[in-house]
Amino acid sequence: MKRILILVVNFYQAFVSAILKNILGINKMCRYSPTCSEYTKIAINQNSVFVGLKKSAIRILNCQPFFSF
Amino acid sequence: MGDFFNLILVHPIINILVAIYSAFSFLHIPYALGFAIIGLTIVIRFILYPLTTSQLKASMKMQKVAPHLSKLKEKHKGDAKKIQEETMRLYKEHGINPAAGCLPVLIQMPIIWALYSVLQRIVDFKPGVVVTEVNKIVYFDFLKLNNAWDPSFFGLSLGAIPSKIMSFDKPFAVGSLILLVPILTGVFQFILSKMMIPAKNSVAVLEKDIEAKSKIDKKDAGDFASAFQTQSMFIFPIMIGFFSFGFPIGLSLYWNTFTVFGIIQQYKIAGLGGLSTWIKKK
Repeated sequence: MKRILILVVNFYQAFVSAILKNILGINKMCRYSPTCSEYTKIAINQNSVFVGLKKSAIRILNCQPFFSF
Repeated sequence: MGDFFNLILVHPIINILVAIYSAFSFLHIPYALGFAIIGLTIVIRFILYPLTTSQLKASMKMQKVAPHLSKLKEKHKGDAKKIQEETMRLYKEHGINPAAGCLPVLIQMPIIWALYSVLQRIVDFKPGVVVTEVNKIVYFDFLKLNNAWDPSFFGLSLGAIPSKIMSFDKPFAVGSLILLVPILTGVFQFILSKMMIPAKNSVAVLEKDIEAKSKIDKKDAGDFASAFQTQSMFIFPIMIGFFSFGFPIGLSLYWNTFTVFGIIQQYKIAGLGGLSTWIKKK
């Protein structure tokens, strides 16, 4: 399960992300480092699938103007 | 879900399109539908303008601090919290607004998608049903169509698909000129992608980053995937070209207007970017 999810994230990073950037004309759009996708991979690897997904979901949801650090 | 999407995005956009179309045909502008598609795209792009601008500016500034950032990461290796803190401090110092985040980007996606599905539908209408279908969607009586629109644009039907017009038996026939549509689409996309890459001095840093990154990526992703990522500047325009080869011309019209607007916006905000080296050589 972990492996499948990480494969999905890899696919996103390799293809979807590149395509999105080209469509929107944006090079770098992350406020976080490592990026959310990288973070998701780490989080899933280190925790259980559920905890990892929850962590990454929280992080993605925090990436917006109404949330400050 | 589909109904909701129609309600909040697709139908309003069709209304705008019909309004622009009615205005154009009232002014007796030829090929009103084609120009209405261009007009609609420009209107939408202007609505998105502030969002894209702030994003472009933030992205530019972030590229400037990228070298500092990688230094930071070296320095505090392993201490994720410290890195995050220092990153935020760095952003503040350079006046990068960390409040923007990725939400503005995400908001644009459904709008771009909605435009696409609107046009997909518009160019697909058969002449017989245009009036009834459109009048079902339109909000106001004065926008209602009395007769079907003319779907031609400079002699081509907006619903025509390049790959179907072209005959592969006679590659040098006049119909092959239609190939210009996907080629132009690809070229515009390439110009925009090229402009997105920052120029000169910052490139050195970035290329090193990309090299290092692709080395890491190669370990867990396939070669093709990493090649796609680093070469997307070349691959993506070709992909888009292929798509427009198989899509109705009306959609290519939308996409090219969209891209050209993007090129102009990119130029106004970030300058020529990666294109500058080529243009100066001449």
